[in-house]
Amino acid sequence: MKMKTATGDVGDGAQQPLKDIPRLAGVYSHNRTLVVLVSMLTCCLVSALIAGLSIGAARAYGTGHPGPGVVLVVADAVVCLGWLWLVLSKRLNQWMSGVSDWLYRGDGMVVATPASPPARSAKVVAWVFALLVCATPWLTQQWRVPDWCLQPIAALYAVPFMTWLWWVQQRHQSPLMLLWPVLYAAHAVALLAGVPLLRSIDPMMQVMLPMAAYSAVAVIASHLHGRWALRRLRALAQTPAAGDDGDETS
Amino acid sequence: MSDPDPVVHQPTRLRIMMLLAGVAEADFTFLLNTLGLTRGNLSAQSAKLEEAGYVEVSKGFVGRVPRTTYKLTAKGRAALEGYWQAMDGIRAGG
Repeated sequence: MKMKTATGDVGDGAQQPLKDIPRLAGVYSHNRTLVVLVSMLTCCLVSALIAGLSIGAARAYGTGHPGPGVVLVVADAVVCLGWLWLVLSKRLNQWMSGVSDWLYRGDGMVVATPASPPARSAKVVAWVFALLVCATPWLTQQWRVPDWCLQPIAALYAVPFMTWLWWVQQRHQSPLMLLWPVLYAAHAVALLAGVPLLRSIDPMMQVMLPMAAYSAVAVIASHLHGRWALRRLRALAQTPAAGDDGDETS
Repeated sequence: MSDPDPVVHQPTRLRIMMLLAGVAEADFTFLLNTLGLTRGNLSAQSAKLEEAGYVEVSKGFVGRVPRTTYKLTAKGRAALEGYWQAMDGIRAGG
C-alpha cells in the first residue's frame, strides 16, 4: 500500500532504501579516517625529531662538544615534555578534530555515534602491549635473535592487539581497518617463509615501517569505503519529489 | 492501527530524521550536501522538527564561522521508530 503526500509517496518500494540511510550515515561517519594518517605522520615527525636530537646530543658528547650536547639534550627534553603535554591535555584532540573538519570541509561536519565504552581490561591490555613493544628489542638481544625475526616476533602480540582494539573499541569502523593486522601478519609469514622483505634496513625500521605502511593502507581503504557510503547515502537521501525548491513548508 | 506521524511522514523531514538517526550529530552543511536541499527548505523543515521536539538545534561558532548542528532527540528517535511501525502495520494490513 502506498501513502501519498503532496510532495511524493513513501510507499513499499521506497521504504527499504530509506531504511538504509542511518546505516550508511553511520558507515560514512565512522570512516572519516584521513585524520588518522595526519596523526600518524605527526607522530612519525615528532619521533624522528626526538630521535634526531638524542643522536645529535650523543654525538656531540662523543666528539667532545658538551656545550652543543647540553643544548640538544635540553631541546630534546622540551620536545618530549611538549608532546606529552599535548597528548595528555585536550589540545591534541582539539587540533585533530579541527584537522578532520578541514579535511572533510566539503562534506560538512558529522559526529559518529560513539562506540561502546572501552572494557575495563582495555587499560591493562594497552599497558601489556606497550611493555611488550619496549621489551622486544631487549629480549631479542638477550636471546640473540636475528634482526629479521623482530617483525614476526612483534606480529605475535601486535596483530592480536590491533584486532582486539578494532573489535572492542572501533568495530563501528569499516572492517577494512582489519587490513592492518592482516597485512602485518602476512608480512611476518612471508619473512618466516624466507622472503627477504626489508632486511637491509635498520632492525627497528623493519618493525616500524610495515606497521606504518599497512596502517596507512587500512586507513586509505577505510576512507574509500566511507566515500562509497557517502555516494550511496546521497543517492538514497536526495528526494526527487516535486516541491523541494526552498518554498516547501507543509 | 495508528496513523503515521504527519510530522515524520513528510518526505524531506523523514530523510532528515533518518540521516540524523545514523550519527550523533551533523551540521547544516552536511545535511544540505547530503540531502541536496536548498537552504530555505532545510531551514524550514528542520524548524518544524525542532518545534515538534524531534530534533535539537544548536548554534555556535567555529572560530568566526557560525555553525548550526542538529541532533535527533530521544523523542525524535521514538517518533521515528513509531512511524516505521505504523508504516509496517499499514503495509501488512494493506
